Amino acid sequence: MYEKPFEAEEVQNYSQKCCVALVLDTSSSMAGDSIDQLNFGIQSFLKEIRSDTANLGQKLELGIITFDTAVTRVSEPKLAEFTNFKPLTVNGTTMMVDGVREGIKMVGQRKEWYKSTGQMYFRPWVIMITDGDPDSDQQGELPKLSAEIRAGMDEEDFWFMAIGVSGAKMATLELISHEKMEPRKLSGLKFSEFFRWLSSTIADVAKGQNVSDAMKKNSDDAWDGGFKI
Amino acid sequence: MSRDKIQFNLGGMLWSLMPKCQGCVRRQGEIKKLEAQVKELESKVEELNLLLNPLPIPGQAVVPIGAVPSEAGWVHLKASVAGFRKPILQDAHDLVIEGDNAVLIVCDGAGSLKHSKAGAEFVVKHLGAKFLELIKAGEVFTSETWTVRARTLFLQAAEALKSKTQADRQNFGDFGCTCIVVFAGPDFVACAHVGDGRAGYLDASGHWLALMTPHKGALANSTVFMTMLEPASLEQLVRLKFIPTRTRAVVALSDGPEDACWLVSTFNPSGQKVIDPNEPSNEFLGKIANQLAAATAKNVSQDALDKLWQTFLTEGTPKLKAQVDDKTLLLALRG
Repeated sequence: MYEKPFEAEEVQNYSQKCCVALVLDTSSSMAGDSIDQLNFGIQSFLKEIRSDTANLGQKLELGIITFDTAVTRVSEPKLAEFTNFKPLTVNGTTMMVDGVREGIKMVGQRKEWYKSTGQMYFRPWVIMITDGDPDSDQQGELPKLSAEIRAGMDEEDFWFMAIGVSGAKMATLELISHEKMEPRKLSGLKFSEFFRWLSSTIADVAKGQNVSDAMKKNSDDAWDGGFKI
Repeated sequence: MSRDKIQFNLGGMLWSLMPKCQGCVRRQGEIKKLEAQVKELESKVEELNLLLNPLPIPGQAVVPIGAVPSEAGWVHLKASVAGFRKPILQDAHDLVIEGDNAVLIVCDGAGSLKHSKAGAEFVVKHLGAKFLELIKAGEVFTSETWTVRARTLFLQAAEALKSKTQADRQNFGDFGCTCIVVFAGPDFVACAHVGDGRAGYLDASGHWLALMTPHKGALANSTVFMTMLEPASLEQLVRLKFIPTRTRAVVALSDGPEDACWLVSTFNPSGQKVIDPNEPSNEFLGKIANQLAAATAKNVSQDALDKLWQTFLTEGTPKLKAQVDDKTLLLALRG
């Protein structure tokens, strides 16, 4: 029986891209269920993006950064079909400020690449998830980081969203967030629900809906108490 | 004969032959030159043979002339598969091969309509039978006759479907489906379609070219359906193409697989706007056609080819694997 499968190179059709940088806390306090549920949530998120071939699968470029005692670019921005996600592990302290700055840098670099190649793009997102507070030697940088995020949001360079997991110091997240996108606290460990919401929201944005409307439309209490826009 | 005499004779012979040997040396040189020329000519003949009747190379995009031997006639790939996680298949297809003619028919039932699968299957079956009748009757097609014939057949298919749904007391509008017919005859290639999807043919220089421009509405994924056909709307809704050329290959597909094998979205030259260039991919279609030709050379059965093609459409590339829409892709290659 002839069993040689057919093979062919796909066409690369252009889609406007939306870059999302996930900036994730992998400090020791995330050990156990938190990191397990976060890993599961990201895997489900990637699966959902890949299955949405007509929209997110072609448009959403996901980058992943972790911060603990060091900041690591785990995955550069790319479409989900090319993202090979390996479960995250925990280690050490919480270099949150450096992590967020790396996220801002990552989406900025991606934007420059879009521009240099003549591609149009949606405003990128930086989404930070943490269960703690920055290391003591980073606390002094918080006001500066807050100003950087404020400028970035005001100048429409990026969206910044902070998500606090149980144990997170919400006052810190409040400090660095812009009033257009206030921090939210995850209910329990409902990472999967959060990522489903994120997927739906960005899908609507990628179809042309404005962010505020998309967030309102998809707002529910599956993973938190809803958004204030 | 004494030994001396032999020696003398041999010596004499050698002596007498000496001038001839010098000629031989010259002739040997000439022979070597001729041999080199023959080798060169043989090499050129081989090159010409390869150009005229080469072996198909599955990994290459250009489909060589004679990739399929003429005695093989039309060889083809055909399959319709459901989209990712889709419970039912709403695409349908038919492929009619009759002598030197190949007719590819693809219907895509509207996802939101409850009887669209039945509509697609009905239209495919109806048109397949009608085109076969025409071919067997020896109908001669020209640009003019194609226009009349194709529109009439499309309208008749829609009316027949309407009659059936009325007899069954069902809502005709629920049977909405698109339809593409690609007809490759001895000296022409023609297309008629209602709705979206893509169709193309292989020109003499080995490039794939589009045969139709899909109907696209203002809203994403909106198009027109066979159930919208009426005498007054025929001209507007049934788009036609007729090219007086003997094509080497034809392809027709529903919109499901188009993102994998067709350039449908890119920037315009000024880089300001995303456009639909509607360009079949030589890389994709050419390589598939060459793999089909290679399989034909190995006498692979049509059943085996159909199964392999079904697998390819289901999961052959990341885009095809993840595509949520139904996927139909028919490709016929003339021997």
